[in-house]
Amino acid sequence: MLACESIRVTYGENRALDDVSLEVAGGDIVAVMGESGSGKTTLLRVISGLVRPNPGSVFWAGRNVTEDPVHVRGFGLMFQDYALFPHLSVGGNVAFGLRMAGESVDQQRQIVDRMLTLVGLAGYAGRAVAELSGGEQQRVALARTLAPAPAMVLLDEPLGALDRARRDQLLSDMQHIFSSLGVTALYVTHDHHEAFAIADQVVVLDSGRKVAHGSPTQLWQRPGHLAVATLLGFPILRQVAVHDGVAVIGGVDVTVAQTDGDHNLALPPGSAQIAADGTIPVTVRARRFEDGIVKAVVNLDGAEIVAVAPAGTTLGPAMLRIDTAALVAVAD
Amino acid sequence: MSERTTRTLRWWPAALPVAFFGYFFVYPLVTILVTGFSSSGGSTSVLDVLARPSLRGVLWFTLWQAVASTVLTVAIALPGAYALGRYSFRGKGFVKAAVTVPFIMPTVVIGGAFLTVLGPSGPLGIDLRRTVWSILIAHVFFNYAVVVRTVSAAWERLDPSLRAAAASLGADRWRTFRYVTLPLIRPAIASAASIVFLFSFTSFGVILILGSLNHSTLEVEIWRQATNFLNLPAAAALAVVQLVGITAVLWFYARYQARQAVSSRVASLKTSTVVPLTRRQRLIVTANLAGMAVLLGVPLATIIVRSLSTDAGWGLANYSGLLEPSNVLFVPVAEAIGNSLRIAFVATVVAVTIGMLAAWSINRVTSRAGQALDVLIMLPLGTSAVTLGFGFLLALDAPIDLRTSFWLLPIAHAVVAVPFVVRTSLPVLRSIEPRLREAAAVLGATPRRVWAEVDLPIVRRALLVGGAFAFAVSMGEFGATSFIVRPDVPTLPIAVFRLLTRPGTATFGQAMAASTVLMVVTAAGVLVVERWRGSTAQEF
Repeated sequence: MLACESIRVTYGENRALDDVSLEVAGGDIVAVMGESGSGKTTLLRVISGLVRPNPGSVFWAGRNVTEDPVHVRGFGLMFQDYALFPHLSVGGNVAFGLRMAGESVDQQRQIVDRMLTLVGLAGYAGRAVAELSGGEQQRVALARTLAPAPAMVLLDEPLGALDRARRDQLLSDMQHIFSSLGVTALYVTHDHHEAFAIADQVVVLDSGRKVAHGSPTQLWQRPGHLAVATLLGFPILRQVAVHDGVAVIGGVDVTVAQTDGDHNLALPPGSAQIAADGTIPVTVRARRFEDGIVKAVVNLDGAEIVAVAPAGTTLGPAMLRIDTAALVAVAD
Repeated sequence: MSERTTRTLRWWPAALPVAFFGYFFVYPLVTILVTGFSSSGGSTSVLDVLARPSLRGVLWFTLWQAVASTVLTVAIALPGAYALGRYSFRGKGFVKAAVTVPFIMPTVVIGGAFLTVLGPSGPLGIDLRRTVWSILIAHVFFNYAVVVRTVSAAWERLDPSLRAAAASLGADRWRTFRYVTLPLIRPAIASAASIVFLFSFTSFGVILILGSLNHSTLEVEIWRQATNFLNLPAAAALAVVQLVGITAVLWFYARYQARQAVSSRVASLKTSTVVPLTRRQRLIVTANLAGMAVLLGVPLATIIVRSLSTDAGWGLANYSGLLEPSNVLFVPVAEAIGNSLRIAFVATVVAVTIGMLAAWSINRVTSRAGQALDVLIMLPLGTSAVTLGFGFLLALDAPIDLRTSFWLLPIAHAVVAVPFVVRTSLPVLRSIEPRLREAAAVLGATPRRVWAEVDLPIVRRALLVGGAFAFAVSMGEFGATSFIVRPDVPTLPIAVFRLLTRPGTATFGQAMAASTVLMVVTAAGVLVVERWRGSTAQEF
């Protein structure tokens, strides 16, 4: 089991990580989600030993490994741009960690073959890295990371450089590989589709601080924090004043469930419609056809809202109906 | 490992290069400075020397011939740079390598070649020997590669969409060149021009052989004062003037480069060239290749032809003469070949070792200290070889008298060659992404194994290229060698020079034969490595 305690990392004036604590149980896959610059890559570098926290400690199976140099720590780190060795073949890359561990040549070859088969690249051992496509490079990097059977796998935006179709396929492949090997993994991404698809638990970082931690369902239902709602793609109505259970939204009085006071209200996708019986007058600024449905883009008190719309909706004035029960208050 | 041991480990590879350059470069130069500024004889300090009209003439000639050589070289080489930078064609790799051959040719070989080509019985049929034209032509020949290679590399990396954008905005061919291409390749032209200027400013062998007594550069004058007139303080004073001039050029160059740094970022890393398809494009490429063949091929071919011509018709008599005891040297010329090979081998090993450690330190230590080391290692490129040899002569008698040691020449040659090793390997080391080293560490490699498994394999090829250049530099080195060579252990360039400057057709034939040997040995190593380099993406 991995445990990080009160990790802080400072680069000059800038706090990359501030008092971040985290636990990953054996066999679990935890996603770390955040905008770029939120500190998620730094967290991986701290855990792998490339960056030393000050203060803060990293524990593995109850032992403090903070002072262990990176090469003895034994965590597998998969880099965002893969960092494949250009002077080695595919096989040479995958075998590298095994060679460092002093495995016999026979053993190396066996494991390399098994790993390449596992990632769907059987027979690629002799190829040059430069000949590979982006998706193939990603698979080689994954095989190289998994080959020495690391205690834990750390993945830094592993699908970031790939197009969408390849991403979906590799995501399911990785899920299958991880569960078949019983891998413990920390998966860094900015994309909530990826995080929710692969992780048991999701941690959200914002400006170096941990702002949320929970299962995908929990986070979706109760984002709790502005940064979480933003990452999930929820439009946010900022600083809405609620008085006696009534808020003014789009210039119209709307009954809401929130208590009195000022709230940031996040509107989950699918809870707004353009309809003749809507109560809020809006202007349709754009129209799109998505997943078989017509959607209208409207501006509501500074937030851009994508509402389900009837076929034949045109740009211009329209009436909007929102499902007020779905509104969730988020802290900033 | 504690923080302190980590820091020490990071520094120890720098210790050897620093000590080496401190003792074999800085110390000799400082000795010259001290000698130059102490007016022991009463009338020989720097200012007194400058006041002499004859020496002001030397300074003026040094300057204007360097400017003229630079302008001529750039003007003549730009079309070639265009042909190589814009078009791709079969055998381009070979052309690039062949163009480089004159640059690595020893200056005595070039001097000898133009004595023949520009002599009364040469292909031109006019006698230009002892005129300034012969010096300028030889400088163009020698420096052509610098401009062609530097500028064509920049041209190749120009993003073709910039030209397309200019055209779509209404710029014709000329204005596209004037307002888009030229501003983007200007830093490369300036960079090449300043190198050509520096080489012409410190030209020695070529001027000694081709010039008359009126054509004396600072470099030649330092040598004459020190060896012919034994006026060491005057030579030292001239060397000080030379150092000041070179420093000024380097300073202007650094300032210019710093200002231009922004525009060089526009260049893409990928090269983009087109296959010549239209009649016009083919004509450009063909004409340029023919021009190169004449300019670069004729002088070298002339040496070979002349080496085979004897009093008794065509034959190998000049070559067999090399094996016999000569009245010009104390030993047969063949022995000088052996000396040169031995010295070049040792110099190469020393230069590669020192250069590798230096490059590694410069790359690792990103602080001001690393930059300082970088500058220190590069200084010999700008310092004249004659000054270095003179400094060795003045300085290296104590604490150990190295002046009669075998090691003196290899060390001097290594000092001159280390910059080549650093300049070829440092860009490669810099291009290694830090993530690769981190990936190796994460996979369990200790710091030492990271070096052995990541840095070394990637930089090995560059070290080989640098080593080949170091070998060529040592084989052809003449300026420093002429000061510190022992008469009974001459090197091949020294032998060629002595043969060239003795009258008589038989000795001239032998000089041509010895030049041919020197040319072949020097070119062979570099050409082999050049072929290799062609297959990598590195460009320096």
